[in-house]
Amino acid sequence: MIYAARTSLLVALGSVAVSGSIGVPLGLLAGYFEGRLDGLIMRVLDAILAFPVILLAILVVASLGTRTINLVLTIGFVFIPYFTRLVRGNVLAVKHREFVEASRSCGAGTAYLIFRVVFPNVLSPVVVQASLTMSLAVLIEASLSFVGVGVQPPKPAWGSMLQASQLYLPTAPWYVLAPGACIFLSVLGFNLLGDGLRDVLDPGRRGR
Amino acid sequence: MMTSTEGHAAVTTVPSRLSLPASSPTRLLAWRQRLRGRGAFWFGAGIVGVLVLAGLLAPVIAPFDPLAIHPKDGLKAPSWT
Repeated sequence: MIYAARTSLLVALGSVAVSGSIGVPLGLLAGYFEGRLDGLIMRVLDAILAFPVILLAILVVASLGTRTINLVLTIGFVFIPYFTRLVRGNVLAVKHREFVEASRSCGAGTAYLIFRVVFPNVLSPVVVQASLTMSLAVLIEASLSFVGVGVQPPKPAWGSMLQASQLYLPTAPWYVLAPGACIFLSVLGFNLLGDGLRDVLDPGRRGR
Repeated sequence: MMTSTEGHAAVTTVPSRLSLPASSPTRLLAWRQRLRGRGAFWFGAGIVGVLVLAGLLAPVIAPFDPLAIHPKDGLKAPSWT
């Protein structure tokens, strides 16, 4: 069970790192430059959003093999649009603010404006989104392991433990409790953490 | 800031260095104040902390190979060790 926690958290952390490291720069570029680049990026991401996660995972596992890294990449790939849309929306709101105009009028270059002026001001929602995405990633990893396309035995994972315990449900129903409780608690923990961070980091919600 | 109206024109003395009041909270204190009373946040942070610690300390908590099979032990009587 404890070793499965390690697997689940690593997969969740890895997939959030993959989606954040690709999604956030894409959102910065789409929001800052707008126009054709924005349209292109958003249409590609709309296409990614159309993929069902389970089918995509089966496709990746069938083509690349059942390695944990493939699972991390698949889950990370699925979450890229959520980060990009969030960052793009915030960049669109921030890029015409006075402090950005002031930096531009002082001679700041495009890269400086994007990464040193705009990016720090859109970081708070990204932190919150990362925390909430961790809970979803744990859930998706468990679902994929449950159906057999996720973490492969003998590597321990809560989803595959749940799947194994399903056989003993009539004779030993407590067997499903431990992996089920672990999945439940980890998802609850990340959700509460994300909600708390949102309350603290979002100026509009402070003091509620 | 002090203002003197003696004489013809008002004289304004501006302190040479503007400083925040002594009670101004630092960033850490501000965070602590914002997070105070948010039980749900601390509960979530606690769960995540326990999970991360369990993952990191897995070889210490359970120093047995999870993949090792001991078929002979299946015939042993129940014991606490």
